[in-house]
Amino acid sequence: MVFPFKGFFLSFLELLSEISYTTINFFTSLRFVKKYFREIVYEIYEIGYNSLLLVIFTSCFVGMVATIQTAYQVRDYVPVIYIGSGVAKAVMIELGPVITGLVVAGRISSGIAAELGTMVVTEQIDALNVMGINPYRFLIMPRMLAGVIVLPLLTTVSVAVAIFSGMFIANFSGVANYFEFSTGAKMFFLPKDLFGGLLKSTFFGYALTLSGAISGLSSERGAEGVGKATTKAVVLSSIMILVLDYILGVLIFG
Amino acid sequence: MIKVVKVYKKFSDWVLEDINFEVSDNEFVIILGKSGVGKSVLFKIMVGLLKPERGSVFYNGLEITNLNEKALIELRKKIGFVFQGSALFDSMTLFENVALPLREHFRLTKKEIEYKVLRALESVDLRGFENLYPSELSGGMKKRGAIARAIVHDPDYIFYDEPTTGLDPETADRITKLIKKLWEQRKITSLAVTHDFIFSRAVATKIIWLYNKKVRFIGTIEEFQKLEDKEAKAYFID
Repeated sequence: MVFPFKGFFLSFLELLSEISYTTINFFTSLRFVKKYFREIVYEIYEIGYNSLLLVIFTSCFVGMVATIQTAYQVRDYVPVIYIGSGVAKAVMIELGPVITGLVVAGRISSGIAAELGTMVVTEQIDALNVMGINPYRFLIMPRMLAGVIVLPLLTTVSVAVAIFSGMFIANFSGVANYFEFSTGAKMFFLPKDLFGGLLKSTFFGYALTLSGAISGLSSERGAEGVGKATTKAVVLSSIMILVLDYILGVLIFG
Repeated sequence: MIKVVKVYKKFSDWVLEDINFEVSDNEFVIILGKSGVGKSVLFKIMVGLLKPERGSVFYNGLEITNLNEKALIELRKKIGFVFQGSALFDSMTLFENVALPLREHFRLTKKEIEYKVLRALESVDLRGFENLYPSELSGGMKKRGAIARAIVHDPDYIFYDEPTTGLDPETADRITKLIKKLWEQRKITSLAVTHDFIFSRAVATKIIWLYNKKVRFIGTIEEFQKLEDKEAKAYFID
């Protein structure tokens, strides 16, 4: 009998082995942080600073939509002061980290996959190997470490922007004034909410750069191969972010 | 000395079968063969980028086919490799590209690195272009940049993968002369895979002809030209 999901099962095992191999290489490469400090700083700038406007823009709308829809759901049942509480908690725990992760994944993991895929196609990865330079140490570790450092910072910005934009739209649309919204936001604030969200984003930063790296390095030859690698990177990073979100959600807030 | 012993390589089909030859020190060996015959695969096996299904490759008696990563890195410090498409790193200037092997493997001061890089660039006539990125260089300049990167750390062996392919005749002639000059000056044991007979005639001390997955001929260029073989004559009939 032919096992109907054999292909999927084998691809999944292959993916797991790629994730494990890259993760081991990442951690063993961390002792070279000092040597590649310049590259790490460059990647922090590339991933962080260059994603900042995009994160601010999307977070602005996330905060406004969250406020309007929270108000729509609760205004006839609970005091308006709780709208600020609901929005702030949702943004800190879930929306800030996940939306930032997904937005940055779209930009960064596809970029990493395209860059590494092109390097595979043009034999630049072979060139590194033949020069005795470990591509994981030289190319992957700086990107992954930058992702891990940058995502919590971007998420902090995202959370702040979303809450303030929510507060603005609440006041502007007459749902709740500044005082009501901010009082509600502060009333049920727990440090665990903020730090739990930031911890999630650290893992998201790892997942999205990891997805870009393994998709790029496993790219097949030719322009089509690079195209497929970038698509795979975005799909994989999005799935990994959502799966990790659930697992971490259960572990931190469950 | 490099020794290739009974090497077999398979992807979906067999690409190489029972490959045997030796490369003595200071030789310039050309591995001649049509496109797709497995020349580049053989090169990648010889530098440890690919593992053969069977067989061994020895460098001065040291078998490399089963070396661990650390030992392989030590070996690769003694090797320079010029890729067909140059394989310069797009995000680095020419200077940074050439300096990379020195920065990675040798404890040199900035001044020493600068001296060695500029000397390598000088020897390939690229002095003055060190601050340009690969995208700003012509095909011939990229190739010369790749040669500079391959020789900057004074390797014992240098591999050229199709060094004149894709270049116009004038540039190909310039690259041929440059490679010959470098070999004569430095006497680095050199190997090239090519189907360019003009290049082969200019530089080779030994020809290894790959045909139909196997070594069909080993000898000098003069001996190769005397072969009464239709397939062999096709290389130099023009």
